[in-house]
Amino acid sequence: MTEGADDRARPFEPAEPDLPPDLAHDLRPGPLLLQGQDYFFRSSDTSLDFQERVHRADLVDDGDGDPTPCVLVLARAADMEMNELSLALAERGIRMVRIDADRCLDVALTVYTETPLIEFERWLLRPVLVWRRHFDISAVPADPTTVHGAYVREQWRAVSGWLSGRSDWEQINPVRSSAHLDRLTQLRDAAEFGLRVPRTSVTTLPGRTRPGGGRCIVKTAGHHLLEPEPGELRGLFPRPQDVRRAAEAREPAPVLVQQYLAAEHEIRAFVVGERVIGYRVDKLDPAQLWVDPDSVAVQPVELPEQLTTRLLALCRFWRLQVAAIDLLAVGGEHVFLEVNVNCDWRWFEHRAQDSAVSEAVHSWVAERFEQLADVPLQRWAG
Amino acid sequence: MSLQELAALVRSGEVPEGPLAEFAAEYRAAAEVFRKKDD
Repeated sequence: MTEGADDRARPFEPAEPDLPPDLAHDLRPGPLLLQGQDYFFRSSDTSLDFQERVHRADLVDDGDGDPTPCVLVLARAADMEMNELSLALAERGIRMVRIDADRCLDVALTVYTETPLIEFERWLLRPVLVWRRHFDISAVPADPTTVHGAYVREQWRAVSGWLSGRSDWEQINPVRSSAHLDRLTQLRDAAEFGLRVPRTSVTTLPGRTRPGGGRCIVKTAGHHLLEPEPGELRGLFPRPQDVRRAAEAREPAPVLVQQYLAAEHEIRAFVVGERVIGYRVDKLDPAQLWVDPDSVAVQPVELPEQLTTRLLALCRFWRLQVAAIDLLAVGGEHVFLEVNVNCDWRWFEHRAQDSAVSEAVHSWVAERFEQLADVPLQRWAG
Repeated sequence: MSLQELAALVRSGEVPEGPLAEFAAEYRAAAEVFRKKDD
């Protein structure tokens, strides 16, 4: 099953139903990227983290009271990639601890500032590897329009930023570098590393600019998913440029207008440590991956060495250890589209009927953990 | 039981009744859902 049937079928709510009569006639079309986008799903906040479940249920021995080396993951409950990691690390006897943005209001947490230790619930732990992905403050279940909610979010924003920035813990995809990796910076860097990129404009007038002079698509400059209320996720996906909108009002926020390149197919390249795992993706239009995923064909593909060398160099430059890069195959050349730091891989594996990325990620995290856990705690002693 | 033994039980799908069996059933159902959620 790729989606719950009701996930994609629910359209956006209608415009404000109780507008004053004098404003009702002045309803203009909303932002271009919000029109006709009906990708919606509720992200469950039910924990499916194996290690959390067995420890809370007292099914496993708590050890001798010494700090337990662990992998600390900041995510959200529905992150199945991290649920799989929890189970895979348990199979190797490696402790993983999870703080989820959508379940963080009731955790017992003390983080020590002078030693690399945390107390999480009743466990004393020594994180040696930290991975923050999908720990979005917008998922914290507190209403930011109230003082209480704004306070709760601000505390978690600050502390999660500090946890995922501490230099005495090794970070996977460190936020210090990845936080600044917006789509435009990605394109500039990729071009500097010798990859072709589509011509791109940033504009509030998406009907009036045509980089490259031909067909274009309009894309979000930010994330693909909006979370206006915790747990309610709405998609923002590429759509063809409509030059008939040239005379319409300007957009309330800038978007990307990007040269459309007719491609033979797309490539999804997962970088895991020093490995690159490629998939060929055949789809009819840029948004199909999101709005009609069951019709997208995915198969493993061997990527040319020249391309993998460049992708690895780019990820080293960005300090990314696990990432997914989207490319177009155009006339024998590969065109860089974007890198996804908080990438998902289970969907691609499901479509391709393999588990190559999961196995690579689990092994890479486990190996890195074993290397780091061997460093004695005294190293940090003051 | 050790963490490894418990994980092996869940992977095997042969979990006796109890909290671990409930978890295994929930997990199996969730693992069948594949959702695109790139940032």
